Amino acid sequence: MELHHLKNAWNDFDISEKKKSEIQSMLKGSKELKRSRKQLLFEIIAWCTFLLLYYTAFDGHRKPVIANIVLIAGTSLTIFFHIQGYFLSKRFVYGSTLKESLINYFYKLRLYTLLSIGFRMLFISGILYYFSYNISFDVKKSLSILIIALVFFFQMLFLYRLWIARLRQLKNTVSGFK
Amino acid sequence: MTEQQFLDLIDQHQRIIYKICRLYRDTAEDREDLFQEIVYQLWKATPSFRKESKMSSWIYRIAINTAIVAFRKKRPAIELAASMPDIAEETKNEEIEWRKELLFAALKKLDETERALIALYLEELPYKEISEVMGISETNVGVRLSRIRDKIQKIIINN
Repeated sequence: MELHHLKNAWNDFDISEKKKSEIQSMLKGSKELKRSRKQLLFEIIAWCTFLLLYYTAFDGHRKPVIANIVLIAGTSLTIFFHIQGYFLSKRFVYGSTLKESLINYFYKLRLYTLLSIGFRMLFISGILYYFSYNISFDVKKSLSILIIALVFFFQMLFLYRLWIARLRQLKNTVSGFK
Repeated sequence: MTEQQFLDLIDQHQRIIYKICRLYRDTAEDREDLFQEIVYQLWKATPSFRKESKMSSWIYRIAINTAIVAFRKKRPAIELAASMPDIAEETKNEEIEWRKELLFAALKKLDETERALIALYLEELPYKEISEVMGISETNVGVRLSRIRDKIQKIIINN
């Protein structure tokens, strides 16, 4: 096939044209973004409710101040990073050329991934420290804590692998510009 | 740019968005999702549009950027057809359709940066404009396009 055949094939492209009303409905965001927005709202409400109620519901006054601070800080940072993640999935263009934009997006995503994983670890440690404080451990309780810690660990590992795969793919694309 | 002006603009240039969706996604569902995402990103990027740049170049840049960055569902890769149809027995329309299929199947064998370059080339944008969209030098555009054209020829011949 000659190059002019390629050009003809490229330009001779059938499309089912969208109406303006259909296009207008897309200005509020894609299906994926709308789903993320709902999920974010639900999570913010859930975490804020937890922050408001934990002190009385889970005996905050009986725990040391540091356990309360770590729990509050970890939960607040989790909310903050959920919001950051939403904004990162809302905007993709960060430069006036394709190369510049993709490089900037890659660095933003990498920073977000590192901080998100770091603060999630802080949050998990805070939760485990808070709820295990003042508990006299027997084998059963120790085993329960271990299982909870393992569940959190594997959840983190899964998340980490997802982020790394995405970052690697983007890095490969960015390196294609060099 | 007002909402109405933007809708007119997309209405005029939706063919560009369709081509990018076809180039970067394998299924109709994924293409539809990407189309929505591109329209949304274009709408959000309108304040940064500089009047000295060409509208079609701007649309291409945002559309390709979105196609590369946007979340995509994991699906099996599309393979080239195992055999070529007997052209002599086909009608002209079928031959055109076959060429289109062959073209897109070959383009999907390229990496994402190469796809961006060849799309702009097939759209007959001058090298200067391609270099402005991509952010690489004109010389680099020329060298890379030459390699990509060879690569496409090989993919098609090997099939």
